[in-house]
Amino acid sequence: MTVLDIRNLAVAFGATPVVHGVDLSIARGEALALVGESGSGKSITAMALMGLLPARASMTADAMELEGQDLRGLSDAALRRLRGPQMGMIFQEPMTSLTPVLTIGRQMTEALRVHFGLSGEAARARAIDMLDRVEISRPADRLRQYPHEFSGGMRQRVMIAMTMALEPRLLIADEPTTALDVTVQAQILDLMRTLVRETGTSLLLITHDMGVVAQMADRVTVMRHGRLVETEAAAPLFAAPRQDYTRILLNSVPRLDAPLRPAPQPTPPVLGFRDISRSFAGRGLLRRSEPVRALDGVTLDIARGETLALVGESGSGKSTLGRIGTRLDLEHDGRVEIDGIDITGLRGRALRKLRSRVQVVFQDPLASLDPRFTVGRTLGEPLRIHQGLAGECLRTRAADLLAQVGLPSSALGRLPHEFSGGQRQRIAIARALAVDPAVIVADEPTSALDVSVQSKVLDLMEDLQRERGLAYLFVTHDLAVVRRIAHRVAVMRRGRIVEMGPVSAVLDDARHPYTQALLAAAPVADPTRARRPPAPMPHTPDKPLSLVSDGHWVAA
Amino acid sequence: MMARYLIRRLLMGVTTIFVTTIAVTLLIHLVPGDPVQIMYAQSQGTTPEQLEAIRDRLGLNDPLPLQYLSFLGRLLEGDLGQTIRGQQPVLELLLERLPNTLALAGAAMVLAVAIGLPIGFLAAYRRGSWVDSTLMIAAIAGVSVPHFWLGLVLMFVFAVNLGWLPVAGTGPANLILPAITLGLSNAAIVARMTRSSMIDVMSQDFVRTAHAKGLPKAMILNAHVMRAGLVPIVTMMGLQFTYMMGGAIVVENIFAWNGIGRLAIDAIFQRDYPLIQGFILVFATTVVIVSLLIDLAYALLDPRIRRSA
Repeated sequence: MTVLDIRNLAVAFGATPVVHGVDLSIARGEALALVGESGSGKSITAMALMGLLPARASMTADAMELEGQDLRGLSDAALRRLRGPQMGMIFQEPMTSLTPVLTIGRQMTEALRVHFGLSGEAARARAIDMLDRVEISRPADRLRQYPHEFSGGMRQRVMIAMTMALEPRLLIADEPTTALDVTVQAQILDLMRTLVRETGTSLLLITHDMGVVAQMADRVTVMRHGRLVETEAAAPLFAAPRQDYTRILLNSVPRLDAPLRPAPQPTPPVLGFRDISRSFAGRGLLRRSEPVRALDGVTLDIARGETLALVGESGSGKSTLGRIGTRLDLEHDGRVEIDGIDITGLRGRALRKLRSRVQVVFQDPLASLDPRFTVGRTLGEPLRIHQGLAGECLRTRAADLLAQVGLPSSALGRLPHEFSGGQRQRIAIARALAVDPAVIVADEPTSALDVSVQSKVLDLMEDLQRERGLAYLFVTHDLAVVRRIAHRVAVMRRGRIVEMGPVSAVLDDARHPYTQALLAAAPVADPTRARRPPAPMPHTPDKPLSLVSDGHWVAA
Repeated sequence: MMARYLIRRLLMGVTTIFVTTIAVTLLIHLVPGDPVQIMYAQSQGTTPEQLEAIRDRLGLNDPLPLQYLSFLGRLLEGDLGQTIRGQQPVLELLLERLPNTLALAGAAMVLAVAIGLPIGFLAAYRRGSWVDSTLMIAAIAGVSVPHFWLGLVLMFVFAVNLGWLPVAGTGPANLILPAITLGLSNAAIVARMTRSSMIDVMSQDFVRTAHAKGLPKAMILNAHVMRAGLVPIVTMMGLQFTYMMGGAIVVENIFAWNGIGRLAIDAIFQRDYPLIQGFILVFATTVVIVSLLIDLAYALLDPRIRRSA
């Protein structure tokens, strides 16, 4: 029994085609994953189906049927009546997808009233029941609350409850867990699987994450540049992809069972943290609230030529430690050492001079490059300030930097928005390299990039490390990326290191329950692996680190 | 939570007024030259002895901190001194006129919102259409028209030619023309703000969610877009009201409306320092109170402030 049948879908924005020749069909109770990198047209395809394309878009299709009903040429009003009870949609951004000024109860019941004519009390009862099913405690009280009183994961649960309350025949989920922590992601995916199984709803899952695909999908459709690459059952697609592009996509995914990087020669540390603590006080003129302890007695070292990965979920303090390392945050307890020398107290000119030793690369290259500066000016600024270069000399050096990150010197005259995400991150790396640093703090440098691009940027970082003996403090939430790039890893939770050691020891022989939970929650790009329901997050009191084997420390 | 937020705002308001009192004391000394001589420059007959007596009476011979403290002390007793011309108590005079100005600014505000809000909303809803373009061109025209010109034209047409309304003076029927003068240009500002705020809200993720739930368009606009879009508009209206108090000074003088603005202009021309000082203080206090009311409305509209501030 086919729920959705789309044949030869084409969407264009004005004269520019963005999707062409796409066929999709989903059977009752089936989960189809629509996979592709940014710009592949996967979200546009879903919006076309929902009838929510922007006004400037035009759409044609040979067939577009939902439960046997032709969606083409339906009036706005008729399509609107299908949205919700026939096809529901969950979006990527849980933080912004709920209306901030209305209560959760209001938002959950309004569609029930509109589509099913439920009375206030009946709609409320249904909303409470649904919140209960997505495991939100005290559902009746929760209905009176506003979205800002929920965490990201909780909001996504509310979204799912709200959408599933209408019992749609087809659930479209557009990157539903991309913005969430891995342990939360595992819970949400598990919840979606359960609900889909219980209600017999068909699922169209849009994602870029092959790990999520492997866990969720019966069949997979791969898209690229608005075209369909292939559609295949999940198991054979992962085992033996027929198309080159699918193969590249799968090979680019960092794997938790990938070979390790060889350990670097032991050298003295270049960057050291000694007993770092950092609290954020409650802000406000007259308000005093309990200070938040972002870091609590963190000690670690990074050696020349070494990559130390800092892993943890949001709020673990990993980015705060990175900021302290780059001296962007000076309000902390404990000491920071460079080449064994205490630099904690340095300010002003001395601090500025030191900044060339530790550089930083941020997650979002578009936001961290000045949009009005040409690449030449962005690279020239540090060269002028720290190395006193000027004129032709400066230009040559800037072009040389670009060459090192694999960009042509013609890029010097262009502005950041003219580049792709991966190229921008290369520029950000070149900017960091300009002052010839010993350490680069990289805060989620590849999280915003497509996997194939991520793979190339990681390659580049590895090459640069080999050539220059750079040390990386690599902040990430992705354990597979850790395996790919790091020599050592420190797992952080609530401002403390709970486990630290060589990558092989920590990932293959995890001792701390939190590390084990992170590993269990990480989606693996292999559909044959058992879909383990995520372990409930263990709550253990924090203990000091103790040595369990060579260089492997565990807080237990 | 809410009480704490309001107390914080209240304290900030009191601080603002306190700073104003300092500025007001210094004001008299910021004018180059001797203020008393400037005050009496036109009247040739004043003898140096008389000028000295006036200086003494105004306390200008005391050291500056002492001047400030005595000013503050009198202020706490509700005494803002007396006007130089006429020897009337300043505070009494200002408070007698203030309701007229508030009535004018209030009426103009109501008019501006009643016209500007629907227009802005309609333009946002029909974004990019000829309706939108027409309304926004009209709004730009409305913003560009100076008060004094619009006031004179309205007076000429409706009072002089048609004779429907009184030309000038103070009274219920006299309120209409100045309120329209002040309200129209502000309606244009409200319309533009409303349009941009609504367009901003309409592109938000939660509006997409509401569409995906299959809610009717009218319901989305009413419940989701309006509520969220009003938050910045209300903030803007607070600023708007204080601008309007400023605008009232011009309009009051055109229509001979007996507000504090007209009083202030007279005081400035006559260099009646106690009255100017009093005017600034009363004006600042009014602005602070209006801002407080706006903060209250803001908190009522936005649960994030109501619950967690």
